[in-house]
Amino acid sequence: MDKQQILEAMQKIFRDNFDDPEIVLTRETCADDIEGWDSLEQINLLSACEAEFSLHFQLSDIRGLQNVGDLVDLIERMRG
Amino acid sequence: MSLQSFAYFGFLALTALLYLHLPRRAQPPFLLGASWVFYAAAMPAMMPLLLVLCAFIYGCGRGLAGAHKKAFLRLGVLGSLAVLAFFKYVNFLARLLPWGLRLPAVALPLGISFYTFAAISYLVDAARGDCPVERSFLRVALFLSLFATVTQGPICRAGRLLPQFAAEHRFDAARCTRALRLFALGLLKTVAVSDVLGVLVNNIFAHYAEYGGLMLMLGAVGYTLQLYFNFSGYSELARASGLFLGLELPENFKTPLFSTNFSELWSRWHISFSGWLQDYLFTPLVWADVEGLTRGRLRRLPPLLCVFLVFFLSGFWHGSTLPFIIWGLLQAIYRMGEELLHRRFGKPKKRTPALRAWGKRAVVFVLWCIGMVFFRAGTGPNPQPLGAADAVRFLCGCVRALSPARFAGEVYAALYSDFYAHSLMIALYVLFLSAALVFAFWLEYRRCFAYKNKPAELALAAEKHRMLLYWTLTVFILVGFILQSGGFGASGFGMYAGF
Repeated sequence: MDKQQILEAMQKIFRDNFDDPEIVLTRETCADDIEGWDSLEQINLLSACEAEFSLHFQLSDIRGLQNVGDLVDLIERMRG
Repeated sequence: MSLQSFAYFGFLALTALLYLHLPRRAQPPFLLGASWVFYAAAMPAMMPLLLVLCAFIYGCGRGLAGAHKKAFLRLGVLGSLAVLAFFKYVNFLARLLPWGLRLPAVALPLGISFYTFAAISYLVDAARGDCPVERSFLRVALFLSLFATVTQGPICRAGRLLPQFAAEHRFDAARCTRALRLFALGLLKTVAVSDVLGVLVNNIFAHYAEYGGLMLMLGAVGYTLQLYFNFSGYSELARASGLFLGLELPENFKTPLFSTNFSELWSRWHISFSGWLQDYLFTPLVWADVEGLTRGRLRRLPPLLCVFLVFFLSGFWHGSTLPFIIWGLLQAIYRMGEELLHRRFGKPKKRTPALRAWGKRAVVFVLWCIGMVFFRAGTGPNPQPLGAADAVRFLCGCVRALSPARFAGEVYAALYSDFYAHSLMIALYVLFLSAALVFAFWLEYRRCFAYKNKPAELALAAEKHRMLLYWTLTVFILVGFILQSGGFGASGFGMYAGF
Protein backbone atom coordinates (compact mmCIF):
# COMPACT_ATOMS: atom_id res chain seq x y z
CA MET A 1 0.00 0.00 0.00
CA ASP A 2 1.61 3.28 -1.03
CA LYS A 3 1.10 6.71 0.49
CA GLN A 4 -1.60 7.67 -2.00
CA GLN A 5 -3.65 4.60 -1.14
CA ILE A 6 -3.24 5.26 2.57
CA LEU A 7 -4.40 8.84 2.04
CA GLU A 8 -7.47 7.65 0.13
CA ALA A 9 -8.37 5.15 2.82
CA MET A 10 -7.96 7.87 5.42
CA GLN A 11 -10.19 10.19 3.46
CA LYS A 12 -12.98 7.64 3.76
CA ILE A 13 -12.36 7.39 7.52
CA PHE A 14 -12.52 11.17 7.85
CA ARG A 15 -15.70 11.42 5.80
CA ASP A 16 -17.39 8.76 7.94
CA ASN A 17 -16.16 10.24 11.19
CA PHE A 18 -17.12 13.83 10.48
CA ASP A 19 -20.24 12.73 8.65
CA ASP A 20 -19.25 14.99 5.76
CA PRO A 21 -18.87 13.46 2.25
CA GLU A 22 -17.20 16.63 0.93
CA ILE A 23 -14.00 16.37 2.96
CA VAL A 24 -10.94 16.23 0.70
CA LEU A 25 -7.72 15.33 2.47
CA THR A 26 -4.29 16.48 1.42
CA ARG A 27 -1.01 15.92 3.20
CA GLU A 28 -1.24 19.46 4.54
CA THR A 29 -4.73 19.13 6.07
CA CYS A 30 -4.56 19.78 9.82
CA ALA A 31 -6.91 20.16 12.78
CA ASP A 32 -7.57 23.83 12.04
CA ASP A 33 -8.99 22.98 8.61
CA ILE A 34 -11.80 20.72 9.75
CA GLU A 35 -14.55 21.90 12.08
CA GLY A 36 -14.80 19.69 15.14
CA TRP A 37 -11.36 18.07 14.89
CA ASP A 38 -10.51 18.34 18.57
CA SER A 39 -8.48 16.18 20.94
CA LEU A 40 -11.33 13.70 21.42
CA GLU A 41 -11.98 13.43 17.68
CA GLN A 42 -8.26 12.89 17.16
CA ILE A 43 -8.54 9.74 19.25
CA ASN A 44 -11.57 8.51 17.32
CA LEU A 45 -9.71 9.10 14.06
CA LEU A 46 -6.56 7.36 15.24
CA SER A 47 -8.57 4.41 16.57
CA ALA A 48 -10.33 4.13 13.22
CA CYS A 49 -6.93 4.18 11.49
CA GLU A 50 -5.71 1.43 13.82
CA ALA A 51 -8.67 -0.74 12.87
CA GLU A 52 -8.39 0.03 9.15
CA PHE A 53 -4.66 -0.64 8.87
CA SER A 54 -4.40 -3.27 11.65
CA LEU A 55 -1.95 -1.24 13.71
CA HIS A 56 -1.41 -0.50 17.37
CA PHE A 57 -0.28 3.04 18.15
CA GLN A 58 1.65 4.01 21.24
CA LEU A 59 1.77 7.46 22.83
CA SER A 60 5.26 8.03 21.44
CA ASP A 61 4.02 7.29 17.88
CA ILE A 62 1.21 9.78 17.82
CA ARG A 63 2.83 12.63 19.71
CA GLY A 64 3.97 15.46 17.51
CA LEU A 65 1.72 14.63 14.56
CA GLN A 66 1.19 17.98 12.85
CA ASN A 67 -0.97 17.13 9.86
CA VAL A 68 -2.41 14.34 7.75
CA GLY A 69 0.93 13.92 5.97
CA ASP A 70 2.68 13.05 9.25
CA LEU A 71 0.01 10.46 9.95
CA VAL A 72 0.31 8.93 6.47
CA ASP A 73 4.09 8.65 6.94
CA LEU A 74 3.61 7.07 10.36
CA ILE A 75 1.16 4.49 9.02
CA GLU A 76 3.42 3.63 6.10
CA ARG A 77 6.41 3.30 8.42
CA MET A 78 4.53 1.04 10.83
CA ARG A 79 3.12 -1.16 8.06
CA GLY A 80 6.45 -1.39 6.35
CA MET B 1 2.38 44.61 43.08
CA SER B 2 -0.36 43.50 40.69
CA LEU B 3 0.18 43.94 36.95
CA GLN B 4 -2.43 46.70 36.85
CA SER B 5 -0.95 48.80 39.67
CA PHE B 6 0.97 52.03 39.24
CA ALA B 7 3.90 50.50 41.10
CA TYR B 8 4.07 47.81 38.44
CA PHE B 9 4.05 50.34 35.58
CA GLY B 10 7.13 51.92 37.14
CA PHE B 11 8.76 48.56 37.81
CA LEU B 12 8.12 47.32 34.26
CA ALA B 13 9.31 50.52 32.59
CA LEU B 14 12.48 50.67 34.65
CA THR B 15 13.23 46.96 34.21
CA ALA B 16 12.67 47.11 30.45
CA LEU B 17 14.73 50.28 30.08
CA LEU B 18 17.74 48.83 31.89
CA TYR B 19 17.33 45.34 30.43
CA LEU B 20 17.29 46.50 26.81
CA HIS B 21 20.51 48.49 27.29
CA LEU B 22 22.57 45.88 29.14
CA PRO B 23 25.24 43.81 27.40
CA ARG B 24 23.82 40.55 26.15
CA ARG B 25 25.50 38.38 28.77
CA ALA B 26 24.12 40.50 31.59
CA GLN B 27 20.52 40.37 30.38
CA PRO B 28 19.35 36.99 31.79
CA PRO B 29 20.87 37.51 35.27
CA PHE B 30 19.38 41.01 35.43
CA LEU B 31 15.92 39.75 34.44
CA LEU B 32 16.15 36.96 37.00
CA GLY B 33 17.16 39.48 39.67
CA ALA B 34 14.20 41.71 38.76
CA SER B 35 11.85 38.71 38.84
CA TRP B 36 13.03 37.65 42.28
CA VAL B 37 12.68 41.22 43.57
CA PHE B 38 9.13 41.20 42.19
CA TYR B 39 8.29 37.90 43.91
CA ALA B 40 10.02 38.82 47.16
CA ALA B 41 8.10 42.10 47.29
CA ALA B 42 4.82 40.22 46.84
CA MET B 43 5.40 37.28 49.17
CA PRO B 44 8.74 37.38 51.01
CA ALA B 45 7.86 34.37 53.18
CA MET B 46 7.62 32.07 50.15
CA MET B 47 10.74 33.30 48.37
CA PRO B 48 12.86 30.39 49.73
CA LEU B 49 10.35 27.92 48.30
CA LEU B 50 10.69 29.42 44.82
CA LEU B 51 14.50 29.32 45.07
CA VAL B 52 14.53 25.71 46.26
CA LEU B 53 12.11 24.67 43.52
CA CYS B 54 14.28 26.36 40.86
CA ALA B 55 17.34 24.48 42.11
CA PHE B 56 15.42 21.21 42.38
CA ILE B 57 14.02 21.44 38.83
CA TYR B 58 17.40 22.47 37.45
CA GLY B 59 19.01 19.47 39.16
CA CYS B 60 16.36 17.03 37.94
CA GLY B 61 16.70 18.47 34.43
CA ARG B 62 20.44 17.87 34.43
CA GLY B 63 19.77 14.36 35.70
CA LEU B 64 17.63 13.69 32.61
CA ALA B 65 20.74 13.88 30.46
CA GLY B 66 22.40 11.05 32.40
CA ALA B 67 21.82 7.32 32.72
CA HIS B 68 18.91 7.49 35.19
CA LYS B 69 16.55 9.52 33.03
CA LYS B 70 13.33 7.85 34.17
CA ALA B 71 14.23 8.14 37.85
CA PHE B 72 14.99 11.85 37.59
CA LEU B 73 11.80 12.50 35.60
CA ARG B 74 9.75 10.69 38.22
CA LEU B 75 11.54 12.51 41.06
CA GLY B 76 11.03 15.92 39.45
CA VAL B 77 7.38 15.46 38.51
CA LEU B 78 6.32 13.78 41.75
CA GLY B 79 8.38 16.24 43.80
CA SER B 80 6.68 19.21 42.10
CA LEU B 81 3.25 17.66 42.49
CA ALA B 82 3.95 16.90 46.15
CA VAL B 83 4.91 20.51 46.84
CA LEU B 84 1.80 21.75 45.02
CA ALA B 85 -0.49 19.26 46.75
CA PHE B 86 0.96 20.06 50.16
CA PHE B 87 0.27 23.77 49.92
CA LYS B 88 -3.08 23.41 48.20
CA TYR B 89 -4.62 20.75 50.40
CA VAL B 90 -2.86 20.93 53.78
CA ASN B 91 -5.45 23.30 55.24
CA PHE B 92 -8.26 21.13 53.93
CA LEU B 93 -6.70 17.96 55.36
CA ALA B 94 -5.90 19.68 58.66
CA ARG B 95 -9.62 20.23 59.18
CA LEU B 96 -10.18 16.47 59.02
CA LEU B 97 -7.81 15.74 61.91
CA PRO B 98 -9.46 13.79 64.73
CA TRP B 99 -9.66 14.66 68.43
CA GLY B 100 -9.85 18.38 67.89
CA LEU B 101 -6.22 18.60 66.74
CA ARG B 102 -5.50 21.89 65.01
CA LEU B 103 -2.60 22.95 62.80
CA PRO B 104 -1.71 26.55 62.04
CA ALA B 105 -3.09 27.61 58.63
CA VAL B 106 -0.51 27.51 55.82
CA ALA B 107 -0.59 30.33 53.28
CA LEU B 108 -0.70 29.38 49.60
CA PRO B 109 2.49 30.58 47.89
CA LEU B 110 1.64 33.11 45.19
CA GLY B 111 1.45 31.50 41.75
CA ILE B 112 2.57 28.07 42.98
CA SER B 113 0.30 26.19 40.57
CA PHE B 114 1.66 28.12 37.63
CA TYR B 115 5.34 27.64 38.31
CA THR B 116 4.98 23.99 39.29
CA PHE B 117 2.99 23.33 36.08
CA ALA B 118 5.71 25.07 34.08
CA ALA B 119 8.32 22.97 35.91
CA ILE B 120 6.53 19.70 35.10
CA SER B 121 6.12 20.77 31.49
CA TYR B 122 9.86 21.48 31.21
CA LEU B 123 10.90 18.13 32.69
CA VAL B 124 8.45 16.07 30.61
CA ASP B 125 9.34 17.90 27.39
CA ALA B 126 13.06 17.48 28.08
CA ALA B 127 12.59 13.77 28.85
CA ARG B 128 10.53 13.27 25.68
CA GLY B 129 13.15 15.09 23.65
CA ASP B 130 10.80 17.94 22.70
CA CYS B 131 13.24 20.48 24.13
CA PRO B 132 16.91 20.22 25.08
CA VAL B 133 17.99 19.88 28.71
CA GLU B 134 18.94 23.38 29.87
CA ARG B 135 22.52 23.57 31.12
CA SER B 136 22.24 27.03 32.65
CA PHE B 137 20.69 27.32 36.11
CA LEU B 138 20.00 30.97 35.39
CA ARG B 139 17.76 30.21 32.44
CA VAL B 140 15.82 27.44 34.23
CA ALA B 141 15.27 29.76 37.21
CA LEU B 142 14.20 32.56 34.88
CA PHE B 143 11.81 30.22 33.05
CA LEU B 144 10.11 29.38 36.35
CA SER B 145 10.16 32.80 37.99
CA LEU B 146 9.79 35.36 35.18
CA PHE B 147 7.82 38.19 36.82
CA ALA B 148 5.31 38.52 34.02
CA THR B 149 4.10 34.93 34.36
CA VAL B 150 4.98 33.86 37.90
CA THR B 151 1.73 34.96 39.55
CA GLN B 152 -0.90 33.50 37.24
CA GLY B 153 0.60 32.33 33.98
CA PRO B 154 0.30 31.94 31.07
CA ILE B 155 2.00 28.57 31.59
CA CYS B 156 4.91 28.70 29.14
CA ARG B 157 6.62 25.86 27.28
CA ALA B 158 10.36 25.51 27.75
CA GLY B 159 10.97 24.75 24.07
CA ARG B 160 9.52 28.15 23.14
CA LEU B 161 10.80 30.35 25.97
CA LEU B 162 14.27 29.06 26.90
CA PRO B 163 15.83 29.80 23.49
CA GLN B 164 14.47 33.36 23.77
CA PHE B 165 16.42 33.87 27.01
CA ALA B 166 19.60 32.99 25.15
CA ALA B 167 19.00 35.64 22.46
CA GLU B 168 19.95 39.29 22.64
CA HIS B 169 17.13 41.79 23.15
CA ARG B 170 17.29 45.42 22.08
CA PHE B 171 14.71 48.18 21.87
CA ASP B 172 12.45 47.81 18.85
CA ALA B 173 9.91 50.57 18.23
CA ALA B 174 7.41 48.38 16.37
CA ARG B 175 7.47 45.72 19.09
CA CYS B 176 7.15 48.38 21.77
CA THR B 177 4.02 49.88 20.20
CA ARG B 178 2.59 46.38 19.88
CA ALA B 179 3.22 45.92 23.59
CA LEU B 180 1.60 49.27 24.41
CA ARG B 181 -1.52 48.39 22.44
CA LEU B 182 -1.80 45.05 24.18
CA PHE B 183 -1.14 46.61 27.57
CA ALA B 184 -3.96 49.10 26.96
CA LEU B 185 -6.34 46.30 25.98
CA GLY B 186 -5.41 44.41 29.14
CA LEU B 187 -6.01 47.49 31.29
CA LEU B 188 -9.38 48.13 29.66
CA LYS B 189 -10.48 44.61 30.56
CA THR B 190 -9.16 44.57 34.13
CA VAL B 191 -9.50 48.18 35.29
CA ALA B 192 -12.44 49.56 33.32
CA VAL B 193 -14.59 46.41 33.05
CA SER B 194 -13.77 43.67 35.56
CA ASP B 195 -13.02 45.74 38.65
CA VAL B 196 -15.98 48.04 38.10
CA LEU B 197 -18.32 45.11 37.51
CA GLY B 198 -16.96 43.39 40.62
CA VAL B 199 -18.51 45.99 42.92
CA LEU B 200 -22.02 45.04 41.86
CA VAL B 201 -21.30 41.31 41.62
CA ASN B 202 -19.81 41.14 45.12
CA ASN B 203 -22.87 42.85 46.53
CA ILE B 204 -25.24 40.44 44.75
CA PHE B 205 -23.43 37.33 45.99
CA ALA B 206 -23.15 38.72 49.53
CA HIS B 207 -26.91 39.32 49.79
CA TYR B 208 -28.18 36.79 47.26
CA ALA B 209 -30.93 35.45 49.55
CA GLU B 210 -32.71 38.81 49.53
CA TYR B 211 -32.69 39.40 45.78
CA GLY B 212 -35.20 38.68 43.03
CA GLY B 213 -34.56 36.54 39.94
CA LEU B 214 -33.40 39.25 37.53
CA MET B 215 -30.86 40.52 40.04
CA LEU B 216 -29.49 36.99 40.53
CA MET B 217 -29.27 36.46 36.77
CA LEU B 218 -27.33 39.70 36.60
CA GLY B 219 -25.06 38.35 39.33
CA ALA B 220 -24.37 35.09 37.49
CA VAL B 221 -23.75 36.76 34.13
CA GLY B 222 -21.88 39.61 35.81
CA TYR B 223 -19.50 37.25 37.60
CA THR B 224 -18.87 35.27 34.42
CA LEU B 225 -17.89 38.47 32.63
CA GLN B 226 -15.93 39.78 35.63
CA LEU B 227 -13.81 36.64 35.76
CA TYR B 228 -13.35 36.46 32.01
CA PHE B 229 -12.30 40.08 31.62
CA ASN B 230 -10.07 39.93 34.69
CA PHE B 231 -8.23 36.79 33.71
CA SER B 232 -7.99 37.45 29.99
CA GLY B 233 -7.01 41.08 30.69
CA TYR B 234 -4.36 39.90 33.12
CA SER B 235 -3.02 37.44 30.56
CA GLU B 236 -2.77 40.28 28.05
CA LEU B 237 -0.87 42.43 30.56
CA ALA B 238 1.51 39.52 31.09
CA ARG B 239 2.01 39.00 27.37
CA ALA B 240 2.48 42.74 26.84
CA SER B 241 5.09 42.80 29.64
CA GLY B 242 6.97 40.07 27.80
CA LEU B 243 6.79 42.01 24.54
CA PHE B 244 8.37 45.08 26.15
CA LEU B 245 11.33 42.84 27.01
CA GLY B 246 11.40 41.21 23.59
CA LEU B 247 9.87 37.92 24.78
CA GLU B 248 6.96 36.23 23.01
CA LEU B 249 4.68 34.62 25.60
CA PRO B 250 1.74 32.37 24.63
CA GLU B 251 -1.84 33.58 24.26
CA ASN B 252 -4.24 32.48 26.95
CA PHE B 253 -7.64 33.46 25.52
CA LYS B 254 -9.12 33.64 22.05
CA THR B 255 -12.59 35.19 22.47
CA PRO B 256 -13.95 32.06 24.20
CA LEU B 257 -17.37 33.58 24.93
CA PHE B 258 -18.18 33.34 21.20
CA SER B 259 -17.75 29.55 21.19
CA THR B 260 -20.59 27.49 19.74
CA ASN B 261 -19.77 24.36 21.77
CA PHE B 262 -17.73 23.33 24.79
CA SER B 263 -14.98 21.61 22.88
CA GLU B 264 -14.34 24.92 21.16
CA LEU B 265 -14.71 26.87 24.39
CA TRP B 266 -12.01 24.83 26.10
CA SER B 267 -9.65 25.36 23.18
CA ARG B 268 -10.14 29.12 23.52
CA TRP B 269 -10.36 29.57 27.33
CA HIS B 270 -7.23 29.51 29.52
CA ILE B 271 -5.43 27.93 26.58
CA SER B 272 -2.06 27.49 28.27
CA PHE B 273 -3.75 25.45 31.03
CA SER B 274 -6.08 23.37 28.84
CA GLY B 275 -3.13 22.70 26.52
CA TRP B 276 -1.12 21.60 29.53
CA LEU B 277 -3.89 19.23 30.65
CA GLN B 278 -4.17 17.86 27.14
CA ASP B 279 -0.44 17.20 26.65
CA TYR B 280 0.51 15.98 30.12
CA LEU B 281 -2.69 14.37 31.40
CA PHE B 282 -5.36 13.64 28.79
CA THR B 283 -3.23 12.25 25.96
CA PRO B 284 -1.04 10.02 28.19
CA LEU B 285 -4.22 8.79 29.92
CA VAL B 286 -5.97 7.94 26.65
CA TRP B 287 -2.98 6.09 25.20
CA ALA B 288 -1.99 4.34 28.41
CA ASP B 289 -1.84 0.56 28.07
CA VAL B 290 -4.29 -0.75 30.67
CA GLU B 291 -4.38 -4.34 29.47
CA GLY B 292 -2.51 -5.55 32.55
CA LEU B 293 -4.58 -3.47 34.96
CA THR B 294 -7.92 -4.66 33.59
CA ARG B 295 -6.75 -8.26 33.11
CA GLY B 296 -7.00 -8.02 29.36
CA ARG B 297 -10.60 -6.76 29.28
CA LEU B 298 -9.59 -3.32 28.03
CA ARG B 299 -6.61 -2.33 25.95
CA ARG B 300 -7.10 1.37 26.64
CA LEU B 301 -9.36 3.51 28.78
CA PRO B 302 -12.53 4.73 27.04
CA PRO B 303 -11.84 8.29 25.80
CA LEU B 304 -15.00 9.66 27.42
CA LEU B 305 -13.85 8.34 30.79
CA CYS B 306 -10.57 10.20 30.27
CA VAL B 307 -12.50 13.38 29.48
CA PHE B 308 -14.40 12.93 32.71
CA LEU B 309 -11.25 12.34 34.75
CA VAL B 310 -9.49 15.38 33.31
CA PHE B 311 -12.37 17.74 34.04
CA PHE B 312 -12.83 16.27 37.49
CA LEU B 313 -9.15 16.77 38.29
CA SER B 314 -9.28 20.27 36.83
CA GLY B 315 -12.11 21.08 39.25
CA PHE B 316 -10.22 19.50 42.13
CA TRP B 317 -7.12 21.49 41.25
CA HIS B 318 -9.11 24.74 41.38
CA GLY B 319 -10.12 23.86 44.93
CA SER B 320 -10.82 20.97 47.25
CA THR B 321 -14.25 22.27 48.31
CA LEU B 322 -17.58 20.92 47.05
CA PRO B 323 -18.42 23.91 44.78
CA PHE B 324 -15.24 23.33 42.75
CA ILE B 325 -15.89 19.59 42.54
CA ILE B 326 -19.39 20.34 41.23
CA TRP B 327 -17.98 22.92 38.82
CA GLY B 328 -15.55 20.30 37.47
CA LEU B 329 -18.32 17.70 37.20
CA LEU B 330 -20.54 20.17 35.35
CA GLN B 331 -17.77 20.84 32.83
CA ALA B 332 -17.35 17.08 32.38
CA ILE B 333 -21.09 16.62 31.90
CA TYR B 334 -21.27 19.50 29.39
CA ARG B 335 -18.39 18.13 27.35
CA MET B 336 -19.47 14.48 27.47
CA GLY B 337 -23.13 15.36 26.87
CA GLU B 338 -22.15 17.41 23.86
CA GLU B 339 -20.13 14.49 22.50
CA LEU B 340 -23.09 12.15 22.86
CA LEU B 341 -25.38 14.69 21.17
CA HIS B 342 -22.94 15.01 18.31
CA ARG B 343 -22.89 11.24 17.90
CA ARG B 344 -26.68 11.14 17.89
CA PHE B 345 -27.44 14.19 15.75
CA GLY B 346 -24.29 14.60 13.69
CA LYS B 347 -21.21 16.74 14.00
CA PRO B 348 -21.26 20.53 13.73
CA LYS B 349 -20.63 21.82 10.21
CA LYS B 350 -18.41 24.68 9.15
CA ARG B 351 -21.27 26.49 7.43
CA THR B 352 -23.82 26.75 10.24
CA PRO B 353 -26.57 29.32 9.57
CA ALA B 354 -25.87 32.50 11.56
CA LEU B 355 -29.06 32.36 13.61
CA ARG B 356 -28.39 28.78 14.63
CA ALA B 357 -24.76 29.58 15.52
CA TRP B 358 -25.86 32.47 17.76
CA GLY B 359 -28.46 30.22 19.37
CA LYS B 360 -25.73 27.72 20.20
CA ARG B 361 -23.49 30.49 21.55
CA ALA B 362 -26.32 31.60 23.83
CA VAL B 363 -26.89 28.06 25.15
CA VAL B 364 -23.17 27.54 25.78
CA PHE B 365 -22.98 30.89 27.56
CA VAL B 366 -25.95 30.16 29.83
CA LEU B 367 -24.59 26.72 30.78
CA TRP B 368 -21.16 28.27 31.38
CA CYS B 369 -22.74 30.93 33.65
CA ILE B 370 -24.50 28.21 35.67
CA GLY B 371 -21.13 26.55 36.29
CA MET B 372 -19.65 29.91 37.19
CA VAL B 373 -22.09 30.36 40.10
CA PHE B 374 -20.48 27.31 41.74
CA PHE B 375 -17.04 28.64 40.87
CA ARG B 376 -17.87 31.98 42.51
CA ALA B 377 -19.21 30.23 45.62
CA GLY B 378 -15.88 28.41 45.86
CA THR B 379 -13.62 31.39 45.31
CA GLY B 380 -15.35 34.26 47.08
CA PRO B 381 -14.75 36.89 48.35
CA ASN B 382 -17.77 36.56 50.63
CA PRO B 383 -18.58 37.98 54.06
CA GLN B 384 -19.75 34.46 55.03
CA PRO B 385 -18.36 31.47 53.17
CA LEU B 386 -20.71 30.18 50.48
CA GLY B 387 -21.13 26.48 49.84
CA ALA B 388 -22.58 24.32 47.10
CA ALA B 389 -26.04 24.61 48.71
CA ASP B 390 -25.83 28.40 48.41
CA ALA B 391 -24.98 28.08 44.72
CA VAL B 392 -28.01 25.82 44.18
CA ARG B 393 -30.28 28.25 46.07
CA PHE B 394 -28.80 31.08 44.02
CA LEU B 395 -29.62 29.29 40.77
CA CYS B 396 -33.16 28.38 41.92
CA GLY B 397 -33.66 32.02 42.88
CA CYS B 398 -32.87 33.07 39.31
CA VAL B 399 -36.27 31.92 38.07
CA ARG B 400 -38.34 33.49 40.86
CA ALA B 401 -39.63 37.04 41.39
CA LEU B 402 -38.86 38.30 37.89
CA SER B 403 -40.32 41.78 38.25
CA PRO B 404 -38.44 44.50 36.34
CA ALA B 405 -39.56 47.14 38.84
CA ARG B 406 -38.14 45.14 41.71
CA PHE B 407 -34.95 44.62 39.71
CA ALA B 408 -34.46 48.35 39.11
CA GLY B 409 -35.05 49.06 42.80
CA GLU B 410 -32.57 46.37 43.83
CA VAL B 411 -29.82 47.59 41.52
CA TYR B 412 -30.31 51.10 42.86
CA ALA B 413 -30.27 49.97 46.48
CA ALA B 414 -27.25 47.68 45.99
CA LEU B 415 -25.15 50.46 44.52
CA TYR B 416 -26.50 53.13 46.86
CA SER B 417 -25.74 51.25 50.01
CA ASP B 418 -22.37 50.08 48.87
CA PHE B 419 -20.52 53.11 47.71
CA TYR B 420 -21.87 56.14 45.87
CA ALA B 421 -24.68 57.55 47.96
CA HIS B 422 -26.08 59.81 45.25
CA SER B 423 -28.47 58.97 42.43
CA LEU B 424 -26.39 60.88 39.89
CA MET B 425 -23.32 58.79 40.78
CA ILE B 426 -25.33 55.61 40.44
CA ALA B 427 -26.52 56.70 37.01
CA LEU B 428 -22.93 57.48 36.01
CA TYR B 429 -21.72 54.12 37.30
CA VAL B 430 -24.36 52.21 35.31
CA LEU B 431 -23.67 54.33 32.25
CA PHE B 432 -19.89 53.89 32.45
CA LEU B 433 -20.10 50.16 33.11
CA SER B 434 -22.52 49.62 30.22
CA ALA B 435 -20.36 51.68 27.86
CA ALA B 436 -17.17 49.87 28.94
CA LEU B 437 -18.84 46.49 28.47
CA VAL B 438 -20.16 47.41 25.04
CA PHE B 439 -16.73 48.70 23.99
CA ALA B 440 -14.89 45.65 25.34
CA PHE B 441 -17.36 43.30 23.67
CA TRP B 442 -17.17 45.18 20.41
CA LEU B 443 -13.38 44.75 20.42
CA GLU B 444 -13.83 41.03 21.14
CA TYR B 445 -16.41 40.77 18.38
CA ARG B 446 -14.12 42.44 15.84
CA ARG B 447 -11.19 40.27 16.86
CA CYS B 448 -13.24 37.10 16.52
CA PHE B 449 -15.27 37.79 13.40
CA ALA B 450 -13.27 40.37 11.44
CA TYR B 451 -9.74 39.15 12.21
CA LYS B 452 -10.19 35.39 12.73
CA ASN B 453 -8.89 35.61 16.30
CA LYS B 454 -5.47 36.87 15.44
CA PRO B 455 -3.65 38.37 18.46
CA ALA B 456 -5.71 41.17 20.00
CA GLU B 457 -3.08 43.88 19.57
CA LEU B 458 -2.69 43.08 15.87
CA ALA B 459 -6.45 43.11 15.35
CA LEU B 460 -6.61 46.51 17.04
CA ALA B 461 -3.79 47.90 14.92
CA ALA B 462 -5.56 46.76 11.75
CA GLU B 463 -8.68 48.83 12.48
CA LYS B 464 -9.26 51.74 10.15
CA HIS B 465 -10.19 54.20 12.88
CA ARG B 466 -7.54 52.96 15.29
CA MET B 467 -6.56 56.44 16.50
CA LEU B 468 -10.10 56.96 17.70
CA LEU B 469 -9.98 53.57 19.39
CA TYR B 470 -6.70 54.38 21.15
CA TRP B 471 -8.24 57.56 22.55
CA THR B 472 -11.37 55.71 23.63
CA LEU B 473 -9.24 53.08 25.34
CA THR B 474 -7.26 55.75 27.17
CA VAL B 475 -10.39 57.53 28.40
CA PHE B 476 -11.98 54.31 29.63
CA ILE B 477 -8.82 53.26 31.45
CA LEU B 478 -8.39 56.65 33.11
CA VAL B 479 -12.00 56.78 34.27
CA GLY B 480 -11.66 53.19 35.47
CA PHE B 481 -8.64 54.13 37.56
CA ILE B 482 -10.43 57.18 38.96
CA LEU B 483 -13.40 55.00 39.93
CA GLN B 484 -11.04 52.61 41.74
CA SER B 485 -9.71 55.21 44.09
CA GLY B 486 -13.29 56.34 44.64
CA GLY B 487 -13.64 53.53 47.16
CA PHE B 488 -13.31 50.34 45.14
CA GLY B 489 -9.99 49.09 46.42
CA ALA B 490 -7.57 47.30 44.12
CA SER B 491 -8.42 43.81 42.93
CA GLY B 492 -5.08 42.52 44.22
CA PHE B 493 -3.27 39.91 42.22
CA GLY B 494 -5.93 39.03 39.73
CA MET B 495 -8.62 36.48 40.27
CA TYR B 496 -6.56 33.47 39.23
CA ALA B 497 -3.51 34.14 41.41
CA GLY B 498 -5.24 32.35 44.28
CA PHE B 499 -5.00 28.96 42.57
